[in-house]
Amino acid sequence: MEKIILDIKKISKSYGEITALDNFSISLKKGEVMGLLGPNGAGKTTLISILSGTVKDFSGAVTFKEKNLFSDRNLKNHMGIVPQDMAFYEDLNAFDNLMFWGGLYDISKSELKQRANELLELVGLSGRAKEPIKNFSGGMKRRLNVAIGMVHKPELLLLDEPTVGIDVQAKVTILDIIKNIAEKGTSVIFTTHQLAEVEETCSRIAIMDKGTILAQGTLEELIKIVGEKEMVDVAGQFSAGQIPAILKEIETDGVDILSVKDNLVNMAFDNTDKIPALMELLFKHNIPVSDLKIKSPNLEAVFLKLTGKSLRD
Amino acid sequence: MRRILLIFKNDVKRRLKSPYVVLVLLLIPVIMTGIIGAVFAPSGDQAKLPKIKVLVVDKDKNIGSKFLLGTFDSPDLKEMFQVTLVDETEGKRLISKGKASALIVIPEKFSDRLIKAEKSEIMVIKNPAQQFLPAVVEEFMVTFSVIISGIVQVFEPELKAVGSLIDTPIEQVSIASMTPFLEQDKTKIISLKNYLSPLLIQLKKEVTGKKKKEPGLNIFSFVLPGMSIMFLLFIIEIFLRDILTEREDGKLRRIMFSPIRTREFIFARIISGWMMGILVYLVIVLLGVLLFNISWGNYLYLFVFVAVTCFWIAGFFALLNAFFKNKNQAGALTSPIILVFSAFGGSIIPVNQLPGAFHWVSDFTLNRWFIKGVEQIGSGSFPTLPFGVVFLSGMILFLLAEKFLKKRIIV
Repeated sequence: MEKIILDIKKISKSYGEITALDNFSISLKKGEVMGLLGPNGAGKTTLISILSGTVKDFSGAVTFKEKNLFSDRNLKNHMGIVPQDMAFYEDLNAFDNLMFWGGLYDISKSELKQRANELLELVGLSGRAKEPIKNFSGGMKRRLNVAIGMVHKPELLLLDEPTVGIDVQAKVTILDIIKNIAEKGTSVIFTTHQLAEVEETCSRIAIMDKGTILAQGTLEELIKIVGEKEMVDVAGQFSAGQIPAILKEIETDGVDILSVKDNLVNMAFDNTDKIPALMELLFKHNIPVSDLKIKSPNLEAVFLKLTGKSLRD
Repeated sequence: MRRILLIFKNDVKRRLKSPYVVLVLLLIPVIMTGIIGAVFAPSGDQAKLPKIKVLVVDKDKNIGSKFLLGTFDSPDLKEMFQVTLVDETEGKRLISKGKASALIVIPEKFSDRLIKAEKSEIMVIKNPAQQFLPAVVEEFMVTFSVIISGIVQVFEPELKAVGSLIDTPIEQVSIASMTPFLEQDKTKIISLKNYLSPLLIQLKKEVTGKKKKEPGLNIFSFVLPGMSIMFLLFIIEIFLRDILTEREDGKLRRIMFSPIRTREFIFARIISGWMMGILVYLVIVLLGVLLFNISWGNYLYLFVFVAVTCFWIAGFFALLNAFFKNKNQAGALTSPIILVFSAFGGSIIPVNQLPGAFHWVSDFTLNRWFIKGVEQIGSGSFPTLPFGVVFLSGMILFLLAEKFLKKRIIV
């Protein structure tokens, strides 16, 4: 069994009346890729800020490589971050950026130079290493952002929505890089709004909301939360309040409303036999239906069930 | 220390890749100094006054008026004055149209009155549209009147005698009757000779090689320090604003994710702004020497004083940035602060030109102490008081900046 490299135990942090993290606990093994899913305001940024040392006055403990993360500054040499922002100097070129950001860590200049060149090759920017970054496309900048986070060969890499706003090709490159470094033993925490990316990349998934972990496990383990139900999405012209009232008119045993808002309801059915009755009822109430989807259980359904809202809300 | 140097080197590299903002802010004080200096300190041919146009109405047409006109005809004064003889009507018409700087009216019987040692009046009508040139004519006429009056008083008996001879028929004039006056004149001239030849006071003109400009005599050396400190404040403020920019665009979180200490980062930012400020000011000093021939005095003193000044500025803006919410707020508030410093500190107008009530305000501005310090260095002495004030207040600002920025970075 692989050793636990990062162990976050019962971290709580409040800003006045607002609780950002509430008894938050996760652990990560060597070479594991954990997808951290949570809606906006779930507490992901606070977690990253605590790990970076820019937020104090919290309770709980963070152990990294079996040491208190905050007692030994040198431990930071083994951690890397890829922030959501393009956090680099646009007036410098890609190579100079890698040299600067890598220079902040305890790594020799010759090794850093070699590493910078390797990474530029890996992210497909070696041909444009000396070009000003301001000439780069969004995808190229994202790839550089990822490369900077890895320049000092961290054992733990935090990626905060690394694929926001980029084309499919760049996205595939970044996800491949994540899988590749995990295979070589780097542990990764990966936050995103793209459920498909998590399903494809992560060996373990944690769903968080309001500062706490609602569930964590492998994809299969999480899907068991919604059971063997069929996912049914109905789109039409109705208000959020209408659907629960209508459903009372039919046998609702085995029907879960996962989330409902104006014009869209996500439900879980034990079996699909009840769907015709539902449709009949909607027509009876003169509710036009524009779309009906029946899906197998997936991460989205789990997320909806646990948080009551879609990931982008 | 390694990380501090790394951040400084990175900042230098970044500024060299995008130097335009700093370059513009560096050149503005130099250009403004050039313009202000050119306006207030014309040099070369421009230093020569234009010929002063003088109109003369000679109603006397006798020995006295000819003496005055002859004086204007001397080589030195000929360079200075352009004299035109006119009648009174024409003279008044021309002066009212502003065609000359002054109109001199020599009255009738001016010579007769001189010989009789009687009071006489020469009228000088000045062109009201001009200030300086008519005043020169007036001063010249005052001097002329004093000299003539003196001569008349010394030779009064002789002149009276000569005057009596003028009305005497030539056949009745005897050399014997003139002899006593001539003897008397001889005695007076011999006794005056000791004073007149050589003159007690002589004007010595000397031009030797290239004119050596003393700091106090170079208008640019007054203007450039004030202008440069104002723009140095702007330049270092830009460097220190990186603290806010890096916090807003996520670079700060990435930096703090590395093993760097918070204090190291704060020092790096302040030291970077400090060093960049010194580098920029060295360029200003060099441009001052090359373009304006400014003699800054002792360059070691100047370097030390500039270094402590840049340190003060870096600490000051680091402290302000601990309280600004974002870079936009910093941009909006620092410009008025710098302008107030400059207005009261002597960068825009000299402090002694400010109303007295504002003088005490200037003592609270860096600009005031910097200008004072540079003036003292220019005159050859170490600016002990300005150095002490800037150094001590700079240290306080630095310590406060470290304390408050730390609180801002780690929440």
